[in-house]
Amino acid sequence: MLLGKLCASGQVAGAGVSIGETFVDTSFDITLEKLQLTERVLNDLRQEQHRFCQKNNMKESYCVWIHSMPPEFGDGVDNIQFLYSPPYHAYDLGRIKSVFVMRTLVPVQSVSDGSSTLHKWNQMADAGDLFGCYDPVLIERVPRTTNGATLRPTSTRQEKGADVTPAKCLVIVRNHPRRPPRVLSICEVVYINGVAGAPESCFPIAASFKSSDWMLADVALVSIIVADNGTPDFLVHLFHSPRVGTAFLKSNTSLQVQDVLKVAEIAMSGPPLLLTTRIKNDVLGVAPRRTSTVLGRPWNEQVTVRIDVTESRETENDQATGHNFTLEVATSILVNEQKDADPSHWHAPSPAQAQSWNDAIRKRLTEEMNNLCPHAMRKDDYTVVCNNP
Amino acid sequence: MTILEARKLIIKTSLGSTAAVFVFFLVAPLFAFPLGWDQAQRVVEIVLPVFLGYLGTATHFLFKRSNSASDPELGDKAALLGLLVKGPLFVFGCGVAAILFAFGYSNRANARPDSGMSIDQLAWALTAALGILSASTSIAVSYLFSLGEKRESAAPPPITLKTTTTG
Repeated sequence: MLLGKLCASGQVAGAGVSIGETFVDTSFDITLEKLQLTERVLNDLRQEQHRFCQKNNMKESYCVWIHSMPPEFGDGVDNIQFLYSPPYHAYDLGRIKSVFVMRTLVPVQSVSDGSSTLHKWNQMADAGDLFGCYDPVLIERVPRTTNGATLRPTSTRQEKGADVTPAKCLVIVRNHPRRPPRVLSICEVVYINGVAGAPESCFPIAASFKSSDWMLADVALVSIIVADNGTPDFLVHLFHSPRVGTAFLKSNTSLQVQDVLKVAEIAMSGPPLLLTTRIKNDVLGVAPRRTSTVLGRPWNEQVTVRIDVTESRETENDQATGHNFTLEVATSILVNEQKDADPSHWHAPSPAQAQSWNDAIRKRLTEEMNNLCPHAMRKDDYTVVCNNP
Repeated sequence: MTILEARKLIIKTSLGSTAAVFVFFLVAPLFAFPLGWDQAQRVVEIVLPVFLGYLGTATHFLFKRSNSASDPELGDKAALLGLLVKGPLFVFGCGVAAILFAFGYSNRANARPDSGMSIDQLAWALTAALGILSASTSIAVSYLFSLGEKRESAAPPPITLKTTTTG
C-alpha cells in the first residue's frame, strides 16, 4: 500500500535508505528533522573516513574504510565501504545500475546538476509520462524467507506476443499535501496484456520543504543487498491437511503453491474485481482506468493487486501433518471522481475506499479457496481450513 | 421592458439561480453525478457570490433612504434594456446547461477513459459563463438599482413603509 500512504498523508513509506532496487525501511516518514539528521550523520562519517585515510597515509580514492551502518539509515544493511563526497550524483531514473550503491535524500545543492535535475523530475511528474519501458527489468519475487521478500532483478526484453510477460514502465508521481513536504516518488507501472495498472512499488526521489529541497543521490557504497517490496495490506491463511483431497484439483494430491496461486488468479479475474491477471511466482492483477467495479459510481479507478503465496509445512515424526499457505495481498489503487487524464486528479483512495477494495479481495479469495477442498471451513474472515469432516 | 420589470427579472433570476445552484450541487453527488462533495462545494463557491451580490444590491436599493418613488422613462431605449438584461441571463443559462451536460456525459459510467471533463475544466467553464453574465449584467444591475438616487437626493422624501392588513 505504498502509493496509498504517499498520496493520502503526504508522508512517504520507504524514506530511509535505498539499497539497490528499493528502500530498506518502508515505514519511514519524511520530515525535515530526519533528513537533517541523516545529513549530519553522513558528514560525521565522511570526516571519520577522511581521518582514517590520513592516519594511514592513503589517498581517499584508494582508501579501504569500512564502517557499520548507522541506525539512522535503517536496519537490514551491513557495512558502508566508501562514502562519496559532494557533489553527489542524482538518482538515475533509467534503471538502477549498481546494486551496491547507497542512496538517500540530500540537499539539492549537494548534488551535481541538482536543481536542473529536480526541475526535470517535476516536469515529468506534471506530464505523467511513462518512461524506461524498453528492455524492462522484471523484478522476480522469490518466495519469502524469514527475513522477508527478496527482489531479484533480471533484465529481460519483452517478447513480441508474449502475453504473460509483464512489461514495466516507470512514472514519477507527486503527492498533494495540505502542508509540506511535497514529495516526488518514482513508481513502476505494470502492463499485463497491454493493460496498465496503478503505479506501485513507489519510493521517494525528492522532498521539498519551505526552506529547502532534497533529492535522492548516490552517497556511498555498501556491502549487502536487502530489499522489500512494501508491506502487504492484509494476509489470508489457508490451512490444509494433506490427508484431505482437493476438490478443485486432482483428488488425493497434496496442495501446492501453484494451486493456491491459480485460485487467487481466478478470484482476481472474476467479478467484481475483473482484473487482467498473470501468474508467475505471484499473482499480479491490473485494471486500467475504468469505472470502479468495487466502489460504485461515480468513482473511477486504476488498480494493481499483487498476491504472494508462501507455504510452510507442519510435520510430526517426519510425517507432514499440514500445509499452511499464507497469501499476502498488496494493493495500489488510484481513484478519481471524473474520467479526465490529468495525473494530479488521480489520487489515493480514502481509508474507507481502500477497505472496500480489501474486503472485496478477501471475500473473493476466501470464496475461491472454499472450492479447493470438499469440506472447507471458514475459521474467520481471513482464514480457511481444509480438514477432515 | 420597464425599469421596474428589469429589476423584478434580476431579483427573480438571482433567487432562482441561487436556489438551483444550492439544490443541484448539494443533491447531485447523491445521485451518481460525477462530483464529489468537496468539488460540489467548490462549484457553489464560484457561482453563488455573483447572484448573492445582485440580491444584496437589490435589497440595499429597496431600503435605502433616498429611494425613488418614480423611475425615469427610457423611451426608445426600453427595448435595449430588455435585451441587455434578458440576453446575458439567457446566454448564462444555456451555457451552464451545456457545461453541466458535457461534464456529466463525458464522465458517464461507460465513457472512454481519459476523455472526461475534469473538475478544473468545469470550474473554468463556469467561471467563463459567469464572466459573460457579470460583464454585461453587473453594470445594468448597478445602474438599475441606483436609478433616481441622484434625482431624489436633492430632496429626499421621508421613508414610508406601507403595511396592509387583511381580514
